[in-house]
Amino acid sequence: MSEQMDSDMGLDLRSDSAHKLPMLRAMGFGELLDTTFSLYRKHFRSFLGISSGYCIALLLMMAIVFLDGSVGSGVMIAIWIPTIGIFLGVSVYVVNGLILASTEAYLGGNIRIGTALKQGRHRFLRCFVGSLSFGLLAVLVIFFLLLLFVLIVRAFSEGALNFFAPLFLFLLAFFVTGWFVTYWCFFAAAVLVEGKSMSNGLRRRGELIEGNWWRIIGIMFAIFVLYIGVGLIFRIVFAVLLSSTGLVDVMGYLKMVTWTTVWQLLVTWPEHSLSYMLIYFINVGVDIFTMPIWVIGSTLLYFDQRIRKEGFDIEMMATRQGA
Amino acid sequence: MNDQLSVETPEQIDINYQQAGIGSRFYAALIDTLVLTLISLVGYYVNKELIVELGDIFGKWLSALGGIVVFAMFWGYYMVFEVTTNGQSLGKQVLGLRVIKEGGYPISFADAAIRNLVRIVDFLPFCYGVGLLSMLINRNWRRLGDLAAGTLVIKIARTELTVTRPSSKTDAPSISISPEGFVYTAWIQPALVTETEMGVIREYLTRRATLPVYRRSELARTIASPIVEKMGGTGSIGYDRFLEEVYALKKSETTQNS
Repeated sequence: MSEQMDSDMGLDLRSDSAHKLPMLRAMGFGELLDTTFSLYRKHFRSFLGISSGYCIALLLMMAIVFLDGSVGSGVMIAIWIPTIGIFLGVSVYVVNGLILASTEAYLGGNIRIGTALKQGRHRFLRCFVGSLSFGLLAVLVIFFLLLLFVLIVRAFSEGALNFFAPLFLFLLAFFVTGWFVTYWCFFAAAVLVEGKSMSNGLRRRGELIEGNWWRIIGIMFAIFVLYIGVGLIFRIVFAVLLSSTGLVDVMGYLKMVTWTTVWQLLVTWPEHSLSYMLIYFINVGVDIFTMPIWVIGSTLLYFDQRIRKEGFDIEMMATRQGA
Repeated sequence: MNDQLSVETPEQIDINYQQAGIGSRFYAALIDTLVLTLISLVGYYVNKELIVELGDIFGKWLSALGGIVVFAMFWGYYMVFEVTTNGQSLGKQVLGLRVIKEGGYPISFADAAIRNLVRIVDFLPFCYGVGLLSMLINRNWRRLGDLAAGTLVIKIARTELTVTRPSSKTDAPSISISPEGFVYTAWIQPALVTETEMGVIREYLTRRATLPVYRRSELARTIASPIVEKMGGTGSIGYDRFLEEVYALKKSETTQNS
């Protein structure tokens, strides 16, 4: 069944002699993370080529975040809504391309940027609508938790509860975010790789995660820590290098780490505009460089789960031997 | 799937190492750093209490001593562990990693000392920035310390020792039916079943109990269909049973021939 779906997506493994099927097998924690970097390095230029499309989304967001407020609220809304829509669309499109490229790489194929993006466009709408629904639901749940947090803090301004309740709610919000991200990654992979419809994709991610929830969310968390960790190391390395040139003061360290503050700083201290422009571009570069890490990692986790639960490796072996 | 490194010994034994990449080494380093931080915090607290107890003069000496101890600990922790536990710090033990020499030999005291002295450079300018860059560039995922000491970090959990002759599979699947109960014997031709097909059938029969029912039948059909077609089989077929019979007949034929 899924073979047929794979064929629908142009991932026809039976007829493509260029594919050399690697030894597919269930992977342990460390092996999965190592394979993520192995694949990324092996197809570095292709992954970077696809993820560089993300800078368009980042530039768009920057443009509207610092839009001049004097144009009036009506105009602001008229500009904000479509721009956010385009930002989300571009982001989903880039992630789609990366998921498909990761699939090709994992199955031993050669990544072709044009093909990956074309296939990503093919399933774009259902993936976008599904992602939007996931995102809205996540925002609503987190907003509700935040509201609860504010109410509790107001009700108990003193005592032990004042400390433990926010901590508990923070952990809960963190957990909920992890839950949504994990489910979304599996949903996107099911839609793109297997060609599932939106509703089937939602059902499919449940089938795959069921019974292995803790393991999956744990590995997903580890992938994101790795992704954020590698990004942070590079950001700080560049910040130190910039500091040593005298362009940026070391005291502004924390401000450099997040690129979202760049334009605020630019407005506040125009005399530092060159250094902050540099920081901005470095941060966008690091974002583009690190983005494939979590996409490849989560795609590998999806395949790993298919191997464990459905014998996907056997199916691939059988498909090849029947070629 | 991962980067393999093969070393052939003079006895014609291939030792295949699976090299540890950034992912597992990142988490091994994280665990080691957490352990070191914990020890440092305890040391700091004890030192602080002692300074208060012993007053100014002894306190200054203790403070200096504490600094030396922290330096020695951060440098010596990895070295002591790697020498005494055959190339494994605590983090590496958790992740199933080991440091070895390029030729596959265990590391010596000098190797451990060099790779951990250079760790200071790898750590620059922040949190192994240089080390990370070096690992990304080097095809064997080696940081500067590894390059200086001629060492590699490998995975021990999946490392395979392959003798240069065909290996025998010992994890044979269990067949639930006896040859008397076979129903497709009349047209099964074991000679037509290739080794590759046997490998797939073996894998399926070994793991089928762990698969959901719908998936079992899907897979059985996918594997069996080309074989059935090749043997000219017709009519309604129970694919799962057919594969059991093919496997058993082919296996008995192979045993008889050898």
